[in-house]
Amino acid sequence: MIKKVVLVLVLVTAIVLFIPSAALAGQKWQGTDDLLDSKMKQITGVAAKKPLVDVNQGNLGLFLFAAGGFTAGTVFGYQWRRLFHEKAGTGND
Amino acid sequence: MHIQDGFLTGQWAVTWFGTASVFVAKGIYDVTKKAEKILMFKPLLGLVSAAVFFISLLPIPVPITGTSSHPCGTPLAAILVGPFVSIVLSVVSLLLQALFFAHGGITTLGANVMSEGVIGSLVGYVIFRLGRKMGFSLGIAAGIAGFAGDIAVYCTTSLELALGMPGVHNLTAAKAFLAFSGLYLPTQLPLAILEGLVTGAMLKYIAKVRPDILYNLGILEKPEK
Repeated sequence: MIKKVVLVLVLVTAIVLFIPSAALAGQKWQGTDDLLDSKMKQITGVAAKKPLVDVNQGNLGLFLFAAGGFTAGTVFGYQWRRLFHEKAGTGND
Repeated sequence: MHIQDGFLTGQWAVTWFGTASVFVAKGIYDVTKKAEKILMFKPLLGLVSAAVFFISLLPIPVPITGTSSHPCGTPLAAILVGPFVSIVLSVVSLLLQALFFAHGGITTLGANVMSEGVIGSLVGYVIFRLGRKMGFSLGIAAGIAGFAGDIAVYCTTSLELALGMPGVHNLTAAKAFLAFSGLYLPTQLPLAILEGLVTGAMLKYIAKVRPDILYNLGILEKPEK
């Protein structure tokens, strides 16, 4: 029974997440944080202050996100290997 | 859920900094204690902190709404390393995101830590523990915790914005809360289901491959020989 519920959840998630034809928004893939910026300006008239590093300058954003993803992935992969491969089944450490 | 600089009045920004700092202090204490007691705690902390940073920065497109948002990662972190330690990880992650990735502000860091760190971690952890007490399996309890933690984070962000929004407007806090949560939730709901599935799957994987980690952390009870 539980397996069937999980399977249904997985299928629903997959349908909702991966069928682009269902997309509703006029401007595709805008982040909710950006939507919030617009909503806040509409309600209060206040715009978000500029971030410390403006990631919209040329390829700077691309570089930062790639570098951040690479660093996080490297740390994650290294520790994953330590925990689940090198030490699998060896007790406390 | 990254609130930008300028979206909270000074009074509320300071309030959230003060509130969050109490939880962060307890988290720092827990990190040192657990690192002394549990040998595999440091590598696990490295793994989980990288995961929280990456997950909470990853914009996942949700085709049904045509928008994108990110999961939180803190419910999973709270289950694995403890709720207060998870709060410390969220501080590091949110600070880096505010400084280098234009995600969230510095003056609003306290509010962001409060929503993603404190509420995400505590709701995730409490729901997981309750689920286990009610007899749910490890994966199901963690899955529900991941889902509930994610939704709780975005509801908290909406509340923070509704209470502390600046400027002159004729909206009550309740109406503003509904407006902000109505903006977040359609996108966040499928992502919360996804976060629940990932959280449950992760716990099940660790239980299968290295159950000793879960025994040492007190997540699973060691079977009697």
